[in-house]
Amino acid sequence: MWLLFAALSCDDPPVATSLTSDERVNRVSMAIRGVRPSADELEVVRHGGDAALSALVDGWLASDAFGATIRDLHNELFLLRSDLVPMLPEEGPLVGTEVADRYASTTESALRLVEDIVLGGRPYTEIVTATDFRGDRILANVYGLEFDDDGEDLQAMTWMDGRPMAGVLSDSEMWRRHVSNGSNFHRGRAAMVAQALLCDDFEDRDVVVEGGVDLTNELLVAEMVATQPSCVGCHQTLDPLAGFFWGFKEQLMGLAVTQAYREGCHWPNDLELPPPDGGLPEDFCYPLRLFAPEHELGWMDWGLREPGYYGESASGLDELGKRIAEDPRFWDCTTRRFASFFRQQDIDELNVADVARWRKAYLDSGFDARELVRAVVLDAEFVDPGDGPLSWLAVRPEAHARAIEQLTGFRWRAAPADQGCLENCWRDVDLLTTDLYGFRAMAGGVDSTYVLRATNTMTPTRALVHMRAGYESAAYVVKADLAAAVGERRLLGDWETAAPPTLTRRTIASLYERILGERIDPDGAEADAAFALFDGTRDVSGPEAGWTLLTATLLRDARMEYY
Amino acid sequence: MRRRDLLRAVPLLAASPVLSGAATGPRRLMVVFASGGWDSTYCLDPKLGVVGIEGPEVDSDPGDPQDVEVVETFDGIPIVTNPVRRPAVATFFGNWARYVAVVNGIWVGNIAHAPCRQRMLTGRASGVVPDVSVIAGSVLGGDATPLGSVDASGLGYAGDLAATTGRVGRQSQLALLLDPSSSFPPPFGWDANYPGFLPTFDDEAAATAFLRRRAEVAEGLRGGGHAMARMADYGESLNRLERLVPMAAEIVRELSLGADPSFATTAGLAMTLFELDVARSVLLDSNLPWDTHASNVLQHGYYDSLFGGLNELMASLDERNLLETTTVVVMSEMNRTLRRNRSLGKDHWPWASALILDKRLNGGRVLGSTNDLMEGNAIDLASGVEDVLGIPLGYDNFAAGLLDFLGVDPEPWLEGVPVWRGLSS
Repeated sequence: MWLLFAALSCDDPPVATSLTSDERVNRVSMAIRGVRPSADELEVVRHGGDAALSALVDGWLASDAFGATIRDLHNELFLLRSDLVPMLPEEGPLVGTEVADRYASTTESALRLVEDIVLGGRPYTEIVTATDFRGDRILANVYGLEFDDDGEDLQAMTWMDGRPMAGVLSDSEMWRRHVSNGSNFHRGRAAMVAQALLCDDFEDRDVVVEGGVDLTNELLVAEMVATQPSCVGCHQTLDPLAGFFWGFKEQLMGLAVTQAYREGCHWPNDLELPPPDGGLPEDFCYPLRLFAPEHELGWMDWGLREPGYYGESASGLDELGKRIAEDPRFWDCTTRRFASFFRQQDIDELNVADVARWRKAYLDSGFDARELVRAVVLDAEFVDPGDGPLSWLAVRPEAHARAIEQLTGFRWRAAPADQGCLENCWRDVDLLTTDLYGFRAMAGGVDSTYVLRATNTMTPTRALVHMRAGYESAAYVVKADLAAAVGERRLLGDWETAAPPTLTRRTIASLYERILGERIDPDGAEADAAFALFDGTRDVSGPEAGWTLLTATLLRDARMEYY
Repeated sequence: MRRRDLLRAVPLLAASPVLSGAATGPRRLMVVFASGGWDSTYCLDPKLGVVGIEGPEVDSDPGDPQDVEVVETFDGIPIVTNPVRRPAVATFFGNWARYVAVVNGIWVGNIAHAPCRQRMLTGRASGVVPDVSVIAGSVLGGDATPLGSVDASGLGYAGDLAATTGRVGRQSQLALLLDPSSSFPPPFGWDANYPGFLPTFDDEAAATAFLRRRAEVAEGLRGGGHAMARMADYGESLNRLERLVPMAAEIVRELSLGADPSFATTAGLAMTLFELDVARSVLLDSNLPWDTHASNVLQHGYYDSLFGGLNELMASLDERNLLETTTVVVMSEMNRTLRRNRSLGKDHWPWASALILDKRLNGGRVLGSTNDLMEGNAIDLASGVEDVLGIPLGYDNFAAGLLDFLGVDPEPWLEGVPVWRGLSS
């Protein structure tokens, strides 16, 4: 009998329990917003059940924090937030701007467009058909866009260089980030669009170059990709897709802009040499000339296939956008991309029947991405995952930063440029959401240049990042709270230095609920353990240190790292 | 069963014909990745005079009698050298060729950077899978080292072994994390001072014990399987971190916070990590922009810089008594085309080359080859020698072969992939 008990207790995995009401609210809130639910929100669902949670979700899907999540999702898709490459320089009309602002203004433009569409309740398909977007003065100066200096910081704007309007497909930063090299002829851009929006991954396929085809002989390649059986399979669809992007320069790097300014922003008239391939120096000075309508037919010069969409004739980016918007593969892929992000699963791991269900909710709503998100995060498996792949979901770096700020009022900002930087210096960096000086990829995020895939579990480096972030943010909030009036505190309630143990225990229980969404008995064993942690340091270093240590520890608790 | 669980079932240092009896310490791996795609005709795969291939000779200055490309043989390895443009290549092979195996004709099956990088490093075309550095570090280090592997490049793939590996940060930000007293200053006007709180050793020990207890409680709440695996990652990360922190001061000394990374500095870091037994495997970036679409002549300088660095690395490994136990693998995700494009650069080519350095290797050999169209010739995977009845060496066979050579059973990671045993022959 004892042997049987021992065997059961050692070998049988624990049985999953259903999530509590608080755990469900916390999970859905973290997924949608990246922030913890308030005590009131937890209370509402305790009494109101699923209907109350659904009502809360309505509000959360209209929040700025959800908008930030939508931008995070699309950054993992489009890989735009890269601070590891040289930024556009502080030249011409950008003199006096901070590099961090130039980074944000440019990299966020496409992401903000998607956010605006989703939060505005517009059909998600507009991300490839929209004719305008919002940008700031810096973006306007970079690309020569109209901007009213008496208006809002972010204003509606549109491209002025004759490019067809097709939402993110027309966005300059998309194609500054996703360049076309050598004889690639925009195929890389086409592959990126097919992969991100249609889940048609050309780069996953094997490339077989038979018979020593010389890839540098563009005319020969053009012929081979149309005739060689091993090439035709991919190129008969890839090359027509690439044909839509000929109006864009192959690349336009920050260093090229710096160089152009050094050369005086013009091609010297006394030179009899032809201008460099890809344009004139003046193209590389603000306003940048990334798109030129006269280059849109460049594919003809190389005998390449004319623009087309999977066998259908089309021309212009706007037509490409319309074809994608009408393509059921886009609808299906959108469903899978969203589900993949929120469930932290590869798109290939998603259950077909589940996808069909979420897709139906999405289509029935008229392509309202908010309804798609609602279907995914209120799905039975999501709110009651058992021991399956959704059992614990890892907080992403961007969401972690938001949660820390929400709880403590702290953002881990730094000025690394003050340490000897002379040019294009970063003077205000958010360390948790950037990579050049910060810790985003070290904490599991993507840096969009080298690290292209998020790590959705705990790692030693991530634990280290969150340990430091925990101490800094806890020190900030505890110091502020102890100096603030009782009613203005974030975490420490009405605790005072001379507080009796009962009040300290109540404060500890309140910290658990606020930070972890977990209710504990102020006189129970868990509170005992927390009290001991607090008290051990208070005895040595004082109450501020005691609260700081306990708060920092809860901020990197397993239930903070996972939800 | 998760792959990590299989670690317990995989015998460490499985018998290998080359390694058995030769090991004098723990096995270590250093992978140097030449990101962007090198042109192997400039060094590892001589094609001088081959019609249709524009190798390094097209860059030679006819007015400089010293600027000539020649094929020199070092301990049986033919290498393209140039005393003017790439002197470090000859120096390196002159010093170390006896420990070197050159591998040519590795089929990558793609011509885009990201998928080629994944294939060469992981042996897999897709999926969330660990790379050979992470696998080797995890298996060879086990629980003996704070980290199995360290990715000092940002180029690696952790897969489901993420809890065994660490990252350094592009500009060595790990230093900020390991040294709590160091910090960037806050921005002007920002009402915070760093560090805001410096925990004592006892504080951190108490906090870690508290977190571990909480994680153990949480581990059982959502059942077994994935739920336990996620919480196991949490616990393992805490444990590894706890073992790493006491070594912080020595690690931080090797980190150049805020500086652009160089091969020399990251190689120095890697050796220190080995000496401290922090990790058994490190992935490095050569930190040279090999993607020469616009000007292939730049390959000369990159090769010279890389091999200058490798020469110093090997000498340092020897000096620091690490040469006996360290395998250095130098690879790039692809190769470059036979001829130059209109910008006098070269584009991508789906047959790769690599370099393996190991004192216990049966060195002075070239394994695999390419034909005059720069396509890999068929080989016998078991022996590594050319065999018209064999198959080209694939990226998956190559990765499996590397693991096998290191004494790591590749089967749990590259299930069903035929193992290339050229290095062990």
